[in-house]
Amino acid sequence: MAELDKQNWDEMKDTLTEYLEAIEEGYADAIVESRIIRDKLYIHVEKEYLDDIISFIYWELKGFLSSMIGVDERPIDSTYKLYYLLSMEGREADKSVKPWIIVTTSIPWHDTEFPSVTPKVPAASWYEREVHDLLGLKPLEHPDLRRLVVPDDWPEGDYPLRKEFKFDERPPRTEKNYEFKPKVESNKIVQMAMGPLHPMADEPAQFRLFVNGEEIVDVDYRMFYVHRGLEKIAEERFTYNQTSFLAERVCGICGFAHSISYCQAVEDAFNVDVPERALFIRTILLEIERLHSHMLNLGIACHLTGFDWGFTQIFKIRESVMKMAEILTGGRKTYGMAIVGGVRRDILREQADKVIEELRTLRKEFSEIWDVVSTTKTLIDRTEGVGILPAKIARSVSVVGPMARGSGLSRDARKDHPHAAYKHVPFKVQTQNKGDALARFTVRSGEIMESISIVEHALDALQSIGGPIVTENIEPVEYASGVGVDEAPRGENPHFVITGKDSRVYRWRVRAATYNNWPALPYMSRGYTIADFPVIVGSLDPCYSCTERVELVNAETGKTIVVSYSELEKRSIKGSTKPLLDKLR
Amino acid sequence: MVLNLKLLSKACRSKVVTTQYPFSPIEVAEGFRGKPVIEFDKCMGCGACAAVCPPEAITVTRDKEKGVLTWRIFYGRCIFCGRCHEVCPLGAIKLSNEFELASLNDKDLNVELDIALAKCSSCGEHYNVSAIEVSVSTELLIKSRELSKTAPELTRLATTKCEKCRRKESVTKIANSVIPGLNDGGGV
Repeated sequence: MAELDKQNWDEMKDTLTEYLEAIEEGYADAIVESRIIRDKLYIHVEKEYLDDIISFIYWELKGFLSSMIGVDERPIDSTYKLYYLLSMEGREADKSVKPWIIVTTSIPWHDTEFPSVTPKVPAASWYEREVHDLLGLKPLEHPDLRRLVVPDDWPEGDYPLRKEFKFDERPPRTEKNYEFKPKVESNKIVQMAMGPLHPMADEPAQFRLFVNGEEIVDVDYRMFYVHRGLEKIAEERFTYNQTSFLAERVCGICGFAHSISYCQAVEDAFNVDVPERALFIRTILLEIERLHSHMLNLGIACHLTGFDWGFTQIFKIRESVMKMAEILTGGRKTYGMAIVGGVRRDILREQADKVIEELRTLRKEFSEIWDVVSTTKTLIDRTEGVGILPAKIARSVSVVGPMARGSGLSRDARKDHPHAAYKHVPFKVQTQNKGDALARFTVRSGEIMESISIVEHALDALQSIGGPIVTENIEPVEYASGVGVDEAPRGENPHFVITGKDSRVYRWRVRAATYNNWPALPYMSRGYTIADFPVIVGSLDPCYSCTERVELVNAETGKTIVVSYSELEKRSIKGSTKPLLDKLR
Repeated sequence: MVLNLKLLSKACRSKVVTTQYPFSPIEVAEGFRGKPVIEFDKCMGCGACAAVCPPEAITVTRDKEKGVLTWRIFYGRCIFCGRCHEVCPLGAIKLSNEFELASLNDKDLNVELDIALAKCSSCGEHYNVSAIEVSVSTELLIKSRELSKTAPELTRLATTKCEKCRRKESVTKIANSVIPGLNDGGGV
């Protein structure tokens, strides 16, 4: 296997050199330094050219923006650094493995402004708002510099990711400072608040729908109410080995994907080889996580459209996925398994046999149930043609996972950046072209069947692979950077790590899949009705925030009514379009 | 509305899937990650578990005045990762099958264990290591030194001294080797 990897790197080097030449042709003056490490091309550029170079790579060389990382490197060389991580997928359609381009730029400590990339590449919007909030770097000409991550009452001038800010610091709060605003101004538009909290929700978010009658004109959102500062905690308190357990806590559903991404990033930085057996075990568990997550989403899709039979049936068989996780990992979620260099538990023959048996019934049960669900009008009528995300917009905001695949973009980190053992297991990337809610649900159901095959295949292959499950005695390397990516149920999760001294991480950047998908929400919602909105949000498969109540404000009279969650749910189920607004008059 | 026959036939074949839990026990898989349980007699208070515990559910505090090392686990913080189980040199802490940890009082989720700190054989004060750990490691040392034939008494004498006394000793030893007879009173 090691030999196979080496060949790839050689081929990769040629591809990356081509990319570099293309960039040098247009921007020779701007490039300060460049180097190629394995499948990554690092280019350090002058900050004045940042926006031009990123948009050139994004649009001309057909890259996707996977992440952007702001780092306070003042203790090292008195500058802040920005790392734009681009996944080069478009032009390399025929090649199996796709490279990364990482564009870095230095921002001097005394001059924190930099040209915003967002006007040219909309996908950069959230990332630049984030470095503005957390590091105090100012993207010039960014169209929307409201707060994204820090709370409404966070004081100006306190930047949590700067190194002088301690993880347990609690600055005094100030006046609330946030305003929802629609893109279109009109006095007919009524603001409708959804959220921010529901006791059952795992991730609170507040939506502001701007509605004209029943029609959604625009959507604005406010999130990060549960931003826990994990990255900061990891930097200051944890060793690199403990951080993988913290990475699991990023999400309650795709936690394992995060811990694997993190471990891969550290392995990349230290240049550690992971034993083949561990790679297969990682694959198996990643797929089990996908099974359980997709079933959760499909169950909820049925529930949101009032088809509770489908909901209970899917949740019934989802239980057997939890059972598989329990057999393989000791917990009903695939937690506590990842460690830098491999995995922590082996899979024994008898465990594998039990799981294969469970999978056999699961495949039969799921295909039967999905056959019924997908032919029942209840679900189809409420999801077909709803929440269409055109491929063009999906491309411009770099959406990931089933969102991208539902809109016809064949993006899947398992194929594009093969990690774990995905190179050695056969599977097909599921895509649909319509881009509506139904397409996304169909993609997920197809992936469930693929996942079952992958787990079966990998468990089978595991029988003939011996050797250790973890590489021990890893030599930590100081100040090395690494990228780790895996395909979580909701899309790619790239993690970026800069290692520090004393077995610690200097900077750890987590980017969850939904981070790239949320910004597409306004585009998906415009023109649909309030009753469609829960379905649209559900088809995005966020860590879904239920809406505790809905508050309607008449913009002209200022009169307010409160609609209960249950009423909204009822409307969602019935697809009712009877105007709620009568009550306002 | 068109009746979906597939739905009807599937719905008719559905069976009861719920169990009688909590009125009947629920079986967990082998190797389940449940509540970590400590065997009091085995623990020597080395603190390896506290050092690796990611959420700091296990802590070790030492009170030199009273001569007590307190090992404490708070299950409210435990993430059941089993790192403690992995690193324990004596196998004193193990993950069990128990998962019903809900309680109205967070004091129920605390387990504490007091272990005596070792006393220095030279100055008589308590120092940072538990007495059991000193005796366990001394015996190990004696075993491993069987080949080099150091007298067990000498090993015991060397390991039962506190850090301060040992430092003093080595300094005296070095000083004596440079200027013989400089500090004749002390030394080994």
